[in-house]
Amino acid sequence: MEAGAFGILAREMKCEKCHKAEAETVIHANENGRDREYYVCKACAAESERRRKAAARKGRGKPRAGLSLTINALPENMVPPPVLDALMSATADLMGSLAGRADAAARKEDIKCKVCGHTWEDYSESGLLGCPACYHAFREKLEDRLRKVHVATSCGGKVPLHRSGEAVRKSIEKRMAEAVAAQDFEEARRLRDQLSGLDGGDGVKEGE
Amino acid sequence: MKLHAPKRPPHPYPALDVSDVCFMSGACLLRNLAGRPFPTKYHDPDKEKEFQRADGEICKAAGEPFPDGTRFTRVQPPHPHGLVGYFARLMHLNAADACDELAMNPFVSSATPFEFIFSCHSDHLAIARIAPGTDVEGPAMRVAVLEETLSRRLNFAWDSSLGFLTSSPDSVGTGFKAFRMMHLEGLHEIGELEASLHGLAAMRIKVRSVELDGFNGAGHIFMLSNGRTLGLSESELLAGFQAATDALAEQEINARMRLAGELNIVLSDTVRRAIAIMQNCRMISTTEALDVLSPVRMAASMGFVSGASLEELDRAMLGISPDSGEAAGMTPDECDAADAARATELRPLAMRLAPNVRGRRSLQ
Repeated sequence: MEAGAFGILAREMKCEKCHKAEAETVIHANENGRDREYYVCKACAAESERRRKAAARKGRGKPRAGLSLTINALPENMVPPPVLDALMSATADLMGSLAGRADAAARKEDIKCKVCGHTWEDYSESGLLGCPACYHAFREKLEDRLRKVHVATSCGGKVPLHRSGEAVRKSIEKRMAEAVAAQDFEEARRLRDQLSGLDGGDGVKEGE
Repeated sequence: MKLHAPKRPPHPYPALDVSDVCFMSGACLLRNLAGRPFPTKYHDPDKEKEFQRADGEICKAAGEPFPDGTRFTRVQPPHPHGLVGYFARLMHLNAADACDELAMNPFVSSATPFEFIFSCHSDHLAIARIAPGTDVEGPAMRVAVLEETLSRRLNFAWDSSLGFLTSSPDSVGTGFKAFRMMHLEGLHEIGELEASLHGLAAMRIKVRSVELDGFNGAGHIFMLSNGRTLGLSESELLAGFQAATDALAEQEINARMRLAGELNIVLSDTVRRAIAIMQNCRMISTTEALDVLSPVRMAASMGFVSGASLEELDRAMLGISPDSGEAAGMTPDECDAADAARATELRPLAMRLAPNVRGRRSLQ
């Protein structure tokens, strides 16, 4: 005997049916709604397969493809089922602690608004954001919420007075891009002149 | 062959008005100052100065006279009681709550009792107007005018893609909320309330009820508001909200017509039981009081109950504040005393009520 992974001792494995020959095959069975695995020798596996097919012919069950999996040679020091449970539990513990560490790391890396310090966790708790800049900080995460509540993710409402120049400029830029794409250069030139006139005019107040 | 629509006999009951169904309407615009933290952050001690700066800025802008001569003054708001106050609290439109929450006095009111500009606990500015009845367009236009004047004096937080930025993403975009407080007892009686409200929810109309944020609140009084504020213009949102709630009011009127006609016995049973409870109760909770007043108010609006005017019943109903005693910090003994006082107040009114037994508008 030697110490295996996680301190569990590995040992040789016998057939779980006859307890005589060495286990070479694993059979997956469903007993009373619970899935079980049997590690059996070749003879017992053949017998089990014969019974299964006979039952299927009588209509008591359908043969399931891939029900049994033949493993020609089980690896040396194969761990038997009771020990396997302990191994699984130890693995789960290890994975759990790793996941916990990952969670803690994720919390540390929780998105934070650089302006007000509001975190995504703060938003999740209260449903309220901390400042206008939070919309940019959480943009990607907020999009789902916006789509769910409003169907849309962009505004169709009024534009504040001091921003109306900016809105006009954006509209002209959009139309100009469309005109260029449609190779309507005359229209594009006209829009460009309009845009330069806007720049030379009263100017657009840039706010927050 | 010529087809003729079958001639329908005139309905024996008076046509109901939508105002019988709708207690009040209103509109509100939520705005925040650009580059300043939302009031949600004012609880942080280091943000107090920030709050005072924002508050001073708002009060200065709102305190100047408006082009039409309206003047807003800074006053200590009274705690609104009753159903209106309750729903205002649910919708974060209660200025008194904002004062308590922020431990400040950030409230400005016009001489008109139904017009407010105040800091709510989540956004810098709520510009609201409420009106009795069904008119939601008037208040919406009025708040738009007030907002436009304020936007010349204040720089609101706005984004070219998202529109006006509010502390809750649920009101971002236009920050526009239209609301109507409706009495839907008829739909409840005929068992179609839930289906109707589900239909509204599918149209993104938010439904708030007494006690429960669902479809079976006490008194079957609901506050409906538009749930969507992004992607459509203010006028489109208003038109959608109006159309949806008008359709609901029509469904309610049809339900009441059915109760008046073919389902008269259902109405009769409900109303008689409700009156009997009110006449004999010695203690009555807020929710039970709303539940018994609701069918009586509906029957009175249809002319089936006499003895008290609709205004009296409305006053009795809207005067009930559905907040639980525990929530108001009352001891169990104080709750019992309040229930007893409510019963004492309701009994004289109930004693005067009598279902009509003769004439066209009579109960079986």
